[in-house]
Amino acid sequence: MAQGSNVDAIVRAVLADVLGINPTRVAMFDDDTPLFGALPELDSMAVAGLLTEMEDRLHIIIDDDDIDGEMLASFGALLRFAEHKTQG
Amino acid sequence: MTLPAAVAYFYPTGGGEELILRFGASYATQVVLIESLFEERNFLRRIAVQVGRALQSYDIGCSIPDIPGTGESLIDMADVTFPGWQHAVADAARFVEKKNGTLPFIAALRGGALIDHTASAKAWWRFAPATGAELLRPMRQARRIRGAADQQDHAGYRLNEAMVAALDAATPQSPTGPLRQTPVRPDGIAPWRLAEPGNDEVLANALADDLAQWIATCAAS
Repeated sequence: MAQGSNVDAIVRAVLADVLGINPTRVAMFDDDTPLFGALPELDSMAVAGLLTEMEDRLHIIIDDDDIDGEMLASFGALLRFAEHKTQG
Repeated sequence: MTLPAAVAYFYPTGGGEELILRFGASYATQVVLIESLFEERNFLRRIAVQVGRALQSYDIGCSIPDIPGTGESLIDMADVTFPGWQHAVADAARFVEKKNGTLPFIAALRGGALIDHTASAKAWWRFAPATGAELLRPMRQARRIRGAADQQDHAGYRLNEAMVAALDAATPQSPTGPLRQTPVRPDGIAPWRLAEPGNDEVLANALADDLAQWIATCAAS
C-alpha cells in the first residue's frame, strides 16, 4: 500500500511545508481528504507552488497537460498522481 | 536598535513617475533593490523591506522602486512592456545617482535579475535569479487549475502578448560591471513557493549581510 511509502511521506511533507500547516494534521489525511477547494490555504497559485516543490523533491517533471482539478481533488488522488509520475 | 523609517520619493520614468521607498537616503553608499515580479513580489516584499532596513546597520542606504504596473503605480499592468521595466530600473538608479552624487549598487531578487542589467551601477548582486519562463509557469498552471479560459490572465495579472513573449525568452543577462550571485539560501522551503506570504527575517538579515560584504569587497578593490 502507498501508506508509509517514501512518496507518501514526501507528498505529506510538501503539503505541510507549502501550506504551513501542522505535520500532525497532514499525517491524518486519508485517501478521501479533500484538498483543492476544501483547504482555504490552497488556492490556485499555492497549487502551483505545491507542484513545483513536488517536482524538486520527487525528481519528477509535471507537464502542463497533467494538471487538472481531479488530481487535486483529494489527498488520495494527489498521491496516486505522484506515485504514477515517480514510476515514470 | 531603532532604525529610521523609510521615506517615499517619486522617480521619473516612462513619461510619468513611480514611487521609490528609500532607507538611509543620506548615506554615501547606496543600493537600488529590484524586487521579484508578479506574485513573487508579494511573497518577497517583507524580505525586501527588511533587507533595506538591515542595510542601514552597515551605513548603506537602500532604495526599492515600484516599477510600472506594480505597487502604487498608476499604470495598468496590461499596458506595461518588458523594455519599459528595464528602463524603469535604469531610471531609478539614475534618480539615486543624482540625489546622492554617486553610482549606486544594484541588488536583484529572483525575477528582478531579468531587468537589472541595463542600469548604470558600480556593481551588481543577485539572489536566486529566475528566468522569465520560471515565473510564467506557475501562473499558467494556476490558470489551468482554475479552468480559466482567458489566455491573457496570469494568476490575476493581465499581461499583453508582447510582455508574455518577452518574459518567455528572458534570462538574466550579464551586467557591465562586477556581479555576485549570492549563495545565501532559505533554510527550508523557498518563500515564493509558500501558500501565504511570510516574513523570513533570518533570510533577510543573511541577504543584507552578504550584500554588505560584497559592497565592502567592491569598495576595497
